[in-house]
Amino acid sequence: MAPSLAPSAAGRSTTGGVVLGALAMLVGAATLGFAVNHFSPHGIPVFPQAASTPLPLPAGLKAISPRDAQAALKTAATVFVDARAPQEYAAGHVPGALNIPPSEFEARLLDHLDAIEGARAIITYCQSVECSEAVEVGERLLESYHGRVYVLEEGWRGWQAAGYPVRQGARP
Amino acid sequence: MAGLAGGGLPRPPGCPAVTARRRPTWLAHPAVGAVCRVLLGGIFVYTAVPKLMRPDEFARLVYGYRILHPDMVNLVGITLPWVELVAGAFLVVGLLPQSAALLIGAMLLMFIVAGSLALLRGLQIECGCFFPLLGGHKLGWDVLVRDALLLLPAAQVLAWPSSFVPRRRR
Repeated sequence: MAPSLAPSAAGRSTTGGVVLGALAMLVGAATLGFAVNHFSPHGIPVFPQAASTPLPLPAGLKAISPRDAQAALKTAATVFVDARAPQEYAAGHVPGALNIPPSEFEARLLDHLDAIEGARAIITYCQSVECSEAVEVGERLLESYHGRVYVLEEGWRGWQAAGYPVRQGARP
Repeated sequence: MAGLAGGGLPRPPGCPAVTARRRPTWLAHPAVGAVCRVLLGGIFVYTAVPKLMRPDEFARLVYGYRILHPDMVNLVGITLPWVELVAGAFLVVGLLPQSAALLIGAMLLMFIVAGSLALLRGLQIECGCFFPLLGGHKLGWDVLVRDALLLLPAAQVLAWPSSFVPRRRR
């Protein structure tokens, strides 16, 4: 083995030196991350309160916490849209929520057109934080609907976990 | 910098820093060190790139672990991939190898703790480790075992730092 690859070639640092080096690396890398994020087209807000969304969502969609959504439930001007499959909807949904899965978007939208058009805001949700149906339905709603469209942050699971009202059956 | 912090007493140029009581074994062999650095650092660089290209998607995966406060999720989504990349690159090259190994070891421990908490709470989530944007890689105990195994090369580098960078003589 070449002498330059001897174990001591890198030099053995003191514990303090090693920790300091690691901290410097951490700070340097984080700074680089912030800088790149600032200029990147895929950049996200560092602290999401301003956008009220911890979930980076497509333009036009905003996230809403289960607590805020529950507050909105009390105002008739907000319409909930359940983007899950009809069986999941029937097993339990937000009271008053309209069932519009992406696979039946057009037909279901026509069924509920009056309610959608009269809404001041729409809140979509699917099963959990990682599902994509709520985002998909939200994006398609934005094509024709001009109010605000929110995605429920934790989805149906978050709503259930918070102990908020639940209704069963195929009717809203 | 690795060669600058060499303890209290000045060391003659080129003098090995191996202490007398630590008898070098095959583990201390520089070739083993090189393999450990390239393997571990390479994995971190390789997996960091897709994450740092899409901080929004990575932040969503971090959010899935439900450990951090939602306000902190984006902060981690933005910075963690870059810390992985920089530490991995430093480790491969052998710049501040012990610091890079320490940082990577700390990240691995963090992944193990976060993953264990998620699994113990019964969360079925994407692991977000190797190909976070391709999906399909569920978080499981196998992932955590692999993370634990990766602690071994990190420990090797911490114990016997090696480098591809020739040491500067002062």
